[in-house]
Order: sequence, then C-alpha cells, then structure tokens
Amino acid sequence: MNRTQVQTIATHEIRQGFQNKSFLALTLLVLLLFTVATVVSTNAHRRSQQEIRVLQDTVARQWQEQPSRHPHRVAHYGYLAFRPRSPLGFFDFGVSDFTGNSIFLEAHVQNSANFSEARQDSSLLRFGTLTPAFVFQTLIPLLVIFLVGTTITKERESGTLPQTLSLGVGWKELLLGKTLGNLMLLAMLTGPVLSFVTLPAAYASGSLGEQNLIRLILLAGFYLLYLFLWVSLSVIISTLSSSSGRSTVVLLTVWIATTSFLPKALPSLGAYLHPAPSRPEFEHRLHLEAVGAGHGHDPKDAHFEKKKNDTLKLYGVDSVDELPVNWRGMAMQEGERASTDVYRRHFEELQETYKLQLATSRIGAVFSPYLAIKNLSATLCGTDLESAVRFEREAEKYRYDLIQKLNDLHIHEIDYEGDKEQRVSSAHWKDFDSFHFTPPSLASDLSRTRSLMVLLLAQAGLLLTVLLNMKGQAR
Amino acid sequence: MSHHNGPALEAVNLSKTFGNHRALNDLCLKVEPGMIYSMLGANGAGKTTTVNLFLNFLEPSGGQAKVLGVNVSTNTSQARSQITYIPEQVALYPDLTGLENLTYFLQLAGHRGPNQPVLRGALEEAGLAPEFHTKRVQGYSKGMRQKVGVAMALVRRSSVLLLDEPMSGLDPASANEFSNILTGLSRQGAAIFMVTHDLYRVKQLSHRVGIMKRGQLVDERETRDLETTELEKLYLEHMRL
Repeated sequence: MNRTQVQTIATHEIRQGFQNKSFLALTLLVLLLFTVATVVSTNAHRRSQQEIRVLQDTVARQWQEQPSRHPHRVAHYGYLAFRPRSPLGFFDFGVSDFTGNSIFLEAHVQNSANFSEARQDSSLLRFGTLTPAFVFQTLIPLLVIFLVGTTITKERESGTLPQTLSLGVGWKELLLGKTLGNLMLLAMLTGPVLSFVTLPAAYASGSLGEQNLIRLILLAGFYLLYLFLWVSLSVIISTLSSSSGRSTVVLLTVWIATTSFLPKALPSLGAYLHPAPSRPEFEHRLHLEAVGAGHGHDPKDAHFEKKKNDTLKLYGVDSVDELPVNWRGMAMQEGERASTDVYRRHFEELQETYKLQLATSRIGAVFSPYLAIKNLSATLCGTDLESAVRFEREAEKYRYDLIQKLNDLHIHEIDYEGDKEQRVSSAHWKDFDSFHFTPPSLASDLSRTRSLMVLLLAQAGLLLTVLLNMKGQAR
Repeated sequence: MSHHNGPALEAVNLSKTFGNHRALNDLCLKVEPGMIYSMLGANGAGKTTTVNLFLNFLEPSGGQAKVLGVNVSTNTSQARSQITYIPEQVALYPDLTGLENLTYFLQLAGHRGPNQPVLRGALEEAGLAPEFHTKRVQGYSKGMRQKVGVAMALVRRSSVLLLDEPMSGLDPASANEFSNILTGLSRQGAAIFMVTHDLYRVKQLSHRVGIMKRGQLVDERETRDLETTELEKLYLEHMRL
C-alpha cells in the first residue's frame, strides 16, 4: 500500500470537491434542511416535553385532591400515565408519534390504545417527516451519490484515469484515496454545521448528561460509518460502471430500494407471514375471555366460589356477612387478578407476533444499511418500539398495583353492609405514588442493538475488502 | 533513468483477443534504451492495443509485455513507475492550473515535493509560456496540454516513453518543438515507443519503424536505411495487401 499516493489522491478529492460549485450548492441546501429540521423538531419536542410534564403533574395533583370517595369509584375515576419524551427524541422521532404517549389506567381493563396496530415499526416510515435523522438517513446518501457516484467514470471519460494509472498508481490506492478523500470532504463540510446545530438542540432538550453524551457520540460514530458505506458503495459502483449515467442510475436504484422499497415491502411481508389480529377482533376476543374469567362487580360469580370458601374457612365463619373483611372488595381483587392475567397473556402474545414481524423486517437490514441505522438511531434516541412497549408494561404494572391497593382499601375500610354508600378519607389518596417512567438504560439499549452494530461494521468491512481488492477498466 | 541491461521495452509473443477478434497476434519487438521506435498502421491494426498492453490497461491473452525486464502483468506498479505515457489528448483536470496538474501527477508518480522553480523550468522547456503556468487548464489548447505531458516526462526522467499519436493535431511549430524534446530525451537514454500516422516525423525522429496490419507486425526497418518516399511506398504497399 502506497500511503503517499492514497494521501495525495484524498487531498486532491477534497480540493476538487471544494471547487465543485453545484455540489457545494446542494450541500448548502441539505444543511439548510438539516437546520430547519432540527429547529422545528427541537421546538416540537420541547413543547411536547413541557406539556407532558404539566399534564402529569396535573393528573397527580387531581388524584391527590379527590374528595373522600368509595375506593372502587376512585378505581373507575382512573389515572392518566404519560410517557415523557426521550431527551434525544428531538433528533429521531422513531415510532413515538405513532405509538402514543399516554394511557388511561382504570379498573378491569387495559385500554386498547395500548395495542395499536400502528406500532409496527417499519411501516411507520413516512417519507415526508423532516427530522434531523431523516436528513442523515435519506438525504445525505443522495448528496454522496451526487458527489461520489461518478468519481471513477468521470475520470475514465475525461481520460485522467489512464493518465493516473500510467504513473504507477494501483487501483487499491486510487479507490481508497477517493473513498477517504470524499468521506473527509463530507465530514469537513457537514460536520461543523451538524455539531453546531445538534449540540445546542441537545442542550435545550436537557440531553447533555453523561449517558446522553455517550449516546450522542455513538450516534455520531455510527452515522459516520453509514456515510462510509454510501461513499464506498458509490466508489465501487462507479468503478464497475461503463458510464457516469449508468453509475448514477444504479446508485439511485440502490437508494430507492434500500431507503424506500425494502422498508415498505418487508413489514408487509412480516404481517403476511405472522398476521396480528385486527383491533376490533383483538378487543372482542379479550372481552369474551376476561368476562369468562370472572367479573369483580359480581361477588356471587361462580369463578370466585373457591376463593370464597377458602376465605370463610380461614375466618371460621359461614357467610360473607360475618367476615371481618369486605367480600365485595375481595371479589374485586380476585376479578382484577383474573382479568389482568388474561390481558397480560394476550398482550405478550401480540408482542410476540409483532416481534416476529419486526424480525422479518430486520432481515432487510442485511441488504439495507438504512434499516440498520434507522433502528439503531431510534434505539439510541429512546424512541424505538422497545421503549414504547416498556412504557406500556410499566404503565400496566402501575395500573395493577394501583387498583389492587384501592381494592385493599375496599376490603379493609369499607363494610360489606351498605358498601356503596360508604367513603374512605381523602387522606388515603396521598399515599399513592405518582407514575414515573424509567426508560431503558444505555446498557440495555446497546445489548438490544448489538446485532445491528455488528451488521453495520460487517457491511463496512465487506465494502472495504471489495475496495481493496477490486480492479476496474482504465478506459 | 534505469541501469537495466537489455531492452527497455520488449514484447514476447504478445497477443490479445477480444471475443473472437484477434487484436494482436504474437507480437515480438524490442526497443533498446535511447531508441525511438515508431509504429505505423491503419486504424484498428493493433497499435494502441500494444500501448495498452505495455501499460497493463489490458491483460494479454498470451505472451508477455516487459518494461526494463519487468513483466507488466505481474509487477504493474513497478513497470508503470518507469513509464511516461502521453496519449493523443493529454488529460488534465480543467479546474487546476498547468502547474497544479503537473504537481499533482508528479506527486502521484512518487516525486516528493517537487519544487516550483523546477516545475516551471520543465514547463518552459516543454514550450509552455510562463504566463500560462498558473492559468486554469480549461483554457488550454491541445498543444498546451501536450506540453504539460512533456514537462512531466522531463521532470520524471522516465526510462520509457509511450506515445500514442502525440503530435496529431499539433501546429507545425509545436510539433517541431515536441520532436526536439523527444530527440533530447532519447539522447539521454530514454526508450521511446511512438504510435503515429505521421511518416514525416517517423523519418525525422525514429531509429526504427514497424508496420502493423490486422494485429501483426508485418514489417520492421531501420529508418536510416529509408528515404521518406520509400517509407511512404512501403507503408502504402502494406496497407494494400
């Protein structure tokens, strides 16, 4: 490997790039779009962050300010759980706009909004959504195609390629020099602007803590790798193509296939191979099974017979009237446990189906670095599907604990006789903790996305190997 | 210049086929150091294919192309590092000046930090007026581009020059300047292989001339034994055959 030649070619590429006025104009346009996307998404993100904070505080305050009430009335009064916006969510919205950020929690039901079909990751891609991540993932590859897609063909057509090769420059040095030069040129042109725009936005979103800085650094590293993939692919296609026109057409076809066709086609294939029930079908099935498991409002429900007999035996009495605890509250508790079991089982089954669908769509990441970086970026920004599912699980756990605690009050603070007319003191509502969502840790996110990271590195390794071993035609 | 003993350029049963078409058939030739060898032939006779094989722009279908004893197929970079190639149209980067083009290509050829006076001197020696040294190449004529190519050969002091119709389209004065430079380089020991149609320059410059037809070297003579008219007659005879 002649490093001097690689360095000379790389420097030459950078210089040529700075003299290419149409490329500079296009770069300016992309950077302008990136700036607009960042400003708009940061504002929307901050507004949403503030709204969620205010609403969650309001819900907590209203909960505590409830008057003295019957506990089961409070269980139906309900609680609204909000998923706070991830600090780096301004950069990549991921699926957060489609999964919803709030769940109404109440007795007996796990609200069906939790099971929205819109949760299917890749089908959520919307070409028109302008976010900083969209600019990185979709538009910057176009810039690369424009700059690098004809790097060899143009030299072949102008005759400088044979001139260069005749001087003893090997293909390895030429292709590596061009790849590194163009990569550095793009980094030099876009890097300062991207950093200048992203860092203040991250600061404004409160995401400059240690963990988020690590996430930002990882994002920068993997986006640079993504850039390398497009630059090296463009150099390879340009080397293999007989003309600049053909090279551009091939690269645009690859761009359309990887950023649009595969991300749309694979989720459909996943849904075909692993069908999920429609929302009405899912709700109907849940309702039937939950009712069949026993209804807490009916203390005489046959499903609670064994529990009733065990309780009577425990207290050594013959009827529920004689119990020192409220059997209606116990039936509520038992009904909640049974219906929650049904809900959780269906929820997990549905999640398994979604996971299978996602797995099918993630196979596409082998052929589409776009899919890999898209999933990786959303995970590092805390806006991926897993984060949304975690929110639902945490909200459901909170709901179950909340309702069962209210049922406890029902059992111990309300008498069986004249049950509905009684109240418990409003002081009890202050004993309930507010809902706080704990997002997945960095370690857990890294562990979940290990395969995507390895895939991107493997793709980069493969392209680098091809670059270092290929030979084109001089003429 | 190299201290290799033996021919600077050598084709040993060199052949090239494209599909069913035999572009070059068992070519054997030698160009000694200091010799100017001109190759004549109609378009499609195999002249440029021969140049491309010596540069390893094409892989031979048979035989060997050697530069200073080095097989160009197996040691391409080593072989190319001894060659200056000047095509009919010297290709340069239009957004760079002549001086910048020269600097870039010389750096690629392994000349570390060639200094400006040397490069300017070479450009002047090649016939490019100083006021054009720092002008963008996009405004250069064909002759001026050729001069940048010649300047490259002067600085590199290459052992081998491969020229593919280098004087085609040059005005008489430029062609004359170019001829003088080639003679000078040859006297310094460079082996020059030139593909051309210009019988006058062949007679004026060359030590040896070959005539190719349908991929074969059909005749080879010392030019000192030939008058221009004889050369023309010989050439036309072969063209008719």
